[in-house]
Amino acid sequence: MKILLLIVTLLFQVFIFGQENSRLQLTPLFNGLPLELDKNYILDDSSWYKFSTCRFYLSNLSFFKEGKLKELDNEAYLIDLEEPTRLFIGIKNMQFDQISFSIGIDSTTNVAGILDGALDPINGMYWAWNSGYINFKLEGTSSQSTEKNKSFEFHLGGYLAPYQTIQTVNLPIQTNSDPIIIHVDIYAFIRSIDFKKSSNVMIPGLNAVKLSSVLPSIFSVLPNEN
Amino acid sequence: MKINILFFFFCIFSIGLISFSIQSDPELIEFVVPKKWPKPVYNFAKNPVSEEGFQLGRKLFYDPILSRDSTISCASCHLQYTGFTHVDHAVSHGIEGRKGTRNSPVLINLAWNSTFHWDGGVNNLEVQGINPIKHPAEMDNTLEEVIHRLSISETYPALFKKAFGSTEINTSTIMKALTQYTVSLVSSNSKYDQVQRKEKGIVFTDQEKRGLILFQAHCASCHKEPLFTNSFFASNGLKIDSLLNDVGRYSITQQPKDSMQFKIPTLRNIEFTFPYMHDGRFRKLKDVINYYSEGINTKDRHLSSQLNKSMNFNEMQKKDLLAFLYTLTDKSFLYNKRFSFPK
Repeated sequence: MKILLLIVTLLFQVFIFGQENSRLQLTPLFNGLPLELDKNYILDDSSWYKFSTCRFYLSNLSFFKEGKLKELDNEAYLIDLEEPTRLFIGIKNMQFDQISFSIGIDSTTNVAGILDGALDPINGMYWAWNSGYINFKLEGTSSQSTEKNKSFEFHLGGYLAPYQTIQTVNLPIQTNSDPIIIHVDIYAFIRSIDFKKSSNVMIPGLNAVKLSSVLPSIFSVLPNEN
Repeated sequence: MKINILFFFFCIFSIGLISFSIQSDPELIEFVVPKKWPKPVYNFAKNPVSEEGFQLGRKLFYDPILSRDSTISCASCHLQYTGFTHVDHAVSHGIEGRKGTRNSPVLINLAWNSTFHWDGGVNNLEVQGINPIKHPAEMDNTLEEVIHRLSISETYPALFKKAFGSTEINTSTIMKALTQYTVSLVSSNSKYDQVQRKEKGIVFTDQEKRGLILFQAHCASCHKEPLFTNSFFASNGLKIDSLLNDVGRYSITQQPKDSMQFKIPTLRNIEFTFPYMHDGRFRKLKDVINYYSEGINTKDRHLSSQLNKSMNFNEMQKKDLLAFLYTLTDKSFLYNKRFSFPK
């Protein structure tokens, strides 16, 4: 009986996880501190920030070894600080020294009609009136906001020229830890925002493009500590 | 003991296999492209139309279950007899009488549309349906709620299983079913079409012929045959309604050149799709012809270049044009029982 259960469990695991046996872990930070939702962060200049949503897409995950592409993953991943399981990406066991990925969803996928899973419009990362995915969503409150209730909302997306917002990130990997931890420090992004001009960006356009261009700089992988 | 359990699993496996094989596949329907028409834009490969999927989409289209207070369905603003638009309503109203800002568009030959809405904001027929479901002035509902209601209903899970092989209902299967219905709304049997096909005994009257010549000279570059639209956007110089403040395509692209541009609509069944224009400001087709003939402000800075010379039709020409436009009426489409409320 026990043996049978074991076999079933093993088969199940093979079925579910396939060849995946290593992981990437996305770790959101704010100014070097772990990013927690609804926690008040006060900076040296006494400005304060509280985040209620931090959600974004990673796609076109590619793995390189000495400049050569080893593996391309066509899946789109929805990274959501609210759901800890969504901070992990399973990857195949292989040798690589660089990864690259897109922040957001490419134009082909944006015009592909209705899609499932991470790309289901039910995930709140889809504009119906102006069909297309929101690549990056950050919401909260801040002393810097010019809104009455101190709120800010940044929904960055748009795939039509000349306002494409998808970004590419290249990260050298000099670690053999598992999971490989990718830091996502939104501090640089927050600092790039001119709150006096706008505390909200909710449509595709020039503002979305400008803010999106900062996004690649918030991703980093630390080399091995030992 | 072990053998018993193995046997038990074997039985479960066999039952599964048998029930899988007797589950009949949906009956696929070939989408027929009328002769000499262009290739459809819609990608049927991802969502082949089946009889079961079409009927499910039809049922959803006519079911108020989609709206928050279960009072309106898609058909409330898209009535078949008027080319699937909202007759006599300049702009439509959603639940609780909330008014929208645009004239409800016709649902005709959608398989050839590359964009949807007057501003072209929707890029694929499959995702169009999300808009009316979520819009506060339309159905004001959420996708989660719609999925929940359909999943606990007595009829829907079985219909989804027939169409898509699973009783599990999600955004994708709802939208695909609706699409299978709306993509099938093809109107290609008007008098105009019958004349093009040289059907026996069908000819244009002299008046209709004169109208066609006028139409081809003055209208057809935008309202291109045989779909009677070129699918592009244009400004016809209508003055902006200061209450609605609708800038059209610009709100989607944020590009100044697109300001005041709206989607060029098909003219098929135009006899019955009144009122006209993106905000339904003209009640009669005669008003539309008068506007294009002598009403356009040719100095309007957004005006499309095709319209910068006044057409100045005389009364007879206007009547000829009207007569031709009436030949675009397709009663076999407007009264096709296959598209009507499912009984």
